[in-house]
Amino acid sequence: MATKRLSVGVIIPDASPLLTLARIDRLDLLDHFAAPITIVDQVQYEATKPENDPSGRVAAWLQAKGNTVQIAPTVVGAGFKAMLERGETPRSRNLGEIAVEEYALSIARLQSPPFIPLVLFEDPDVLDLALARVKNVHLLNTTAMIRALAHDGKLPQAREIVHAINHARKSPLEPFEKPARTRRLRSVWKDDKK
Amino acid sequence: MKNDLTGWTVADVTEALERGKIGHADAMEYFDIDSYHRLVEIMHLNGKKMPGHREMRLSPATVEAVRAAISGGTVEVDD
Repeated sequence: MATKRLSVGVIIPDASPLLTLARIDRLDLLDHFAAPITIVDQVQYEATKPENDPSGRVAAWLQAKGNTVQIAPTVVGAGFKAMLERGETPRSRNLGEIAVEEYALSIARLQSPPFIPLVLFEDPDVLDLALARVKNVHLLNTTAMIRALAHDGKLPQAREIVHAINHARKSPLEPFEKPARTRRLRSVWKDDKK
Repeated sequence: MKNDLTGWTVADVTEALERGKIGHADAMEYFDIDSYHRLVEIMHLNGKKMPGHREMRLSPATVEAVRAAISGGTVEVDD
């Protein structure tokens, strides 16, 4: 069977990973990724609302990242923003999921996305979205990401970070992953290409 | 053999249980509970794991995908 090489794109389809890391002031963990990070516009709104992000850390992190974090525009997000600008107070409940669904469908329409979507999430509802069925999609939650970062000794304080996350929660965030259903997934380091 | 935990703090008990220095029965008596699941919940709330807890191993595919995301490299997949 033929093989091909694809780059990885990180997608954050719910606000929870951003808010979890913001609560312990460790949004810098996402700076480990050289791969592009995509956040859907409506999720950006949810993650930066003062009610959800009282410290303003998510907004500050996004501003510092500039265009290295891609905010994916959606019709849902644009409509919501337009209503806010008209002075209306639309309900934002579930709009994040609908916006992610819209974004996922745009990827899924491509028979084979030009990248491996690495989805960082915490909300179990994400598993029911079209995003979770995109070809080669690879899903993991925040603690699994931390464990993976620690795997090669790149994050020796991983255990303390997970403790800090769980200390701020009612129940522990157990690592979760749903690997891509590919026969092979092998990374090729850029440094090895020389 | 049962241990007398009189004077112990919650932190002392959860730490000792995680390290396997005391048994489940001692801890459950200390917390005055009769549910093992409740004991697990108390341990987790206090940032501790049950003795013998084995952390889930990540699949090699997850490690490789994250590694590629860190390096900005590529992954090889079946077409």
